[in-house]
Order: sequence, then structure tokens, then C-alpha cells
Amino acid sequence: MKIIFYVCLALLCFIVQTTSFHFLSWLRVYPDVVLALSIHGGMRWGKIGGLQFGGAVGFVQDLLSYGVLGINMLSKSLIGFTVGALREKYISDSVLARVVIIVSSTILDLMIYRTLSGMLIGDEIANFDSKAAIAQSVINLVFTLLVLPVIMMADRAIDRRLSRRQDLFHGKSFLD
Amino acid sequence: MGGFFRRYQNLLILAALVVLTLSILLSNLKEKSSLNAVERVAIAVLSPFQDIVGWSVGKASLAWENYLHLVDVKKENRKLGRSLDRLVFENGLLTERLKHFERLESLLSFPKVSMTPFEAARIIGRDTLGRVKLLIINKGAGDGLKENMSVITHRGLVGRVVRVSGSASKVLMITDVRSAVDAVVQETRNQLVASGSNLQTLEVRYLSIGADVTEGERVISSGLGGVFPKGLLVGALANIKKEGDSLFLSARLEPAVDLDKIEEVLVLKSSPSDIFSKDDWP
Repeated sequence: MKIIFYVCLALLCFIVQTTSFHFLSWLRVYPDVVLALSIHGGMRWGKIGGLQFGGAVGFVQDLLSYGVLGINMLSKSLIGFTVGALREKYISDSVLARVVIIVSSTILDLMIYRTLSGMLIGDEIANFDSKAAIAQSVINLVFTLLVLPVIMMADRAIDRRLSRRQDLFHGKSFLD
Repeated sequence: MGGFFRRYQNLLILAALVVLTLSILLSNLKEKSSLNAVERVAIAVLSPFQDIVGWSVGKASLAWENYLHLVDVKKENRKLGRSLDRLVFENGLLTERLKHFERLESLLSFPKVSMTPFEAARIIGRDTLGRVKLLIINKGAGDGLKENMSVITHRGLVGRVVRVSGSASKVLMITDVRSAVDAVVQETRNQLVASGSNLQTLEVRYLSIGADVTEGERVISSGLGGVFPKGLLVGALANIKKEGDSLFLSARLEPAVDLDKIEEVLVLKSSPSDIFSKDDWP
């Protein structure tokens, strides 16, 4: 059930991102749903789960784009891993911690993307545009802060539902 | 041995994923089509949903825009009426010139320009982050589309088809950094190359320093690049400057099509060489 939920969630995110997000662009930058999903993966399942989930959604993002496959897969899996590792050791669940995670993840993502595109395509795309980086950080921050609690709420709701079902199987009523 | 794996499990998994990603990256660089099948499957799975969502979002935004436009509709109607009168007059003159041209053409036994078959398509998606200037359209191999076909609107050139799946295709816009259009200034016939730079305007390259061009002049495709047919409107010249000792003028090109707002496109179903078909030569 959990897997189905996350596959549907990822599909929905990709559909919404490719069809509607250009309406939400600010300074020609769109919110990155895949980054939000990778951060959620790291926070929810730790470094290995974050690495795997980030890698999977990053790969689909690469497939839907054009150019060199693997760049988003690499950056999103590293983000999932880093967020998971930090979450396990240092970071609390506070809003400030989330702000730091989202902004640093956005910058890491941009740096990996621009460095690899620059090396592999060898064009102006590699130039690090600080204005675009700030715009992307702000838009990702607002979007991810709004979206993360919703995903986590849905996740917990499914957890509760699953545990109730397990209780029923073991002869307990969910009213106990 | 087992203890070693348990101890470094996390690092080993991370290293494995990084190696996997880099190998995908490198294999893709070496042979561009190696992952085409997976890409096709991804587009095929998502495109029906994108079609439905894109259509609904498009209709909703159209309804909202129509409502907003109602406010100025009377004023605009009058303005359009005036331009229509002017266009009808111009159309009459141009029809006369076309007939004159056709007579000359037949006299000189020039090849006739075939009517290029085209396929109308709706835009169902864009690149996930806008980093690549990419459109996803709802027509694919099943509709006769192939890679490198030109994509236009009634206003001018949009881009070319770069990936085709059964029912959807990816179109790389002329503003993308990987795009370049061999073009000429319509009036003066000066040659240039219009390169995408991931901005709203294109960069003009190799426009001779001696070219007698002014801002706003129309630029059309030359047909020499081997991808885009001759005569498609690309855009208008802007910001023309002479820079230092350069042999070329520095300029930008404003695309004729507002690429952020297009919803429908036409795909020309023939290559540039097909437009002048062999049978048309005397």
C-alpha cells in the first residue's frame, strides 16, 4: 500500500510539474517537486532510503527532460542521502532546520547540474547565475515548506490505517 | 567478510549508486540512443495523464483570460477591425504579386514548392524545471512524426522534434542552448546563425560587420542547416551593436513566437530536402 501511495504521488508530482508549473514561474524559475520528494525521502527513511528514493525520482526527471541522462539522478540521490545522514545525526524537526535543508539542497542540486552540464555539454549553461540560484532557493523553500507537511500527513495517515488493519488481523479492535 | 559489508554497508550502497549513475551518464554520452526505449516508455506512461491535466489547465486559464479580456474587448474589436481592413487591402496587392511570380516561375521552369504536409499537435507538457527549453506534444510515431521534423506555429518557427514515442514527442525549442538555426535577414539577405542561449531571445552569430541591417528587421530560416526548411520566420533583430575589433556584429533575435504562451503547434512532416521534391525539377 505504501509503495502504491509513493508511486502514485511521484506520478502526480511529475504530471503537475510538467503541465502546470510554468504558470507558477518566478524569474523564469519553477518550484522543483522532485527536490521536495528527495528531501522527504531522506527525512522519512534515512540516508539509504533517501538515496534510493531520490535516485528513482531523479531518474524519471531525467527521462522526461532532454540531454544527458543521469544528472538529476545523481544530484537527487546525493540530496536524499545527505538529508538522511544529517537527519539521523544532527537535525531536529524544527522549521529552521527545514529551511537550512531546503536551501542547501537547492544549491547542491544547482551546483551538480551546472557543473555536469558544463562539463558534458560545454556551454554557457554551466555559468553559475547567482540571481537564478536565489530565485530557485526562495521558490523551492516556499513550495517545499508548504508541501512537505502534506506529504508527511498523508504518510502518517496510511501508517495509522495499516497498523489498524494489523491490529484487526491480530484479534484487536481499532477502538481498543 | 560479512562484518566488512555490514560495517561499510551505507558507504558501499552510496558508491554503487554513484557508479551506476555515472555509468548511465557515460553510456548516454557515448551512444545517445542507448536509453531511448526507457525514455519512450516514460513518456508513453505519462503522456495520457499529461494530456488530460494539460487540457484541463489550458481550458481553465483560457476561461480566466477570456473573462479578463472581456473588459477591453470593445476597444480591441475596433482596433482589430481597422487592421483587418488594412490586411484585406494588402492581401489584394500580394495576391496580384503572387500571380505575377507564378507566371515568371513557369516561364523560367523553376521547381514548384510543394505544399508541405503537417500535423497539428497540442502541447501537453514542458521540461520539469525549465532548464531545458523543451515541449512535450500529444502526437508521436503513430501520427507519422519523426526526429528532426520542424515545429512551427502560424507566427513562425518553434523548434524541432528530438524524441518520438508512440503517442507523444519531445520538441526542443529554438531558444535552448543546444539549438542553432541557419538564417538570413529577409530584406538584405545577410546570413547569420541564431543560437539559443536558454534566455527569451536568441544570440545572433556570424552577422557580417558590413551588413546594412536595422533593429526590427525580420529574419527567416535559410534552409542550409539541414533541419529547418527555407523561409520560416524566426524572429526580429534587436540590440545590434558593433563590438571592438570583431568581424561580426553583435545582436539578439526576438523569436516571432511567444514560446512561453504557445498551446498548439504544427509539425512539418517532411525534411527540408523533401520540400523541393525531385519530381518538381524540370
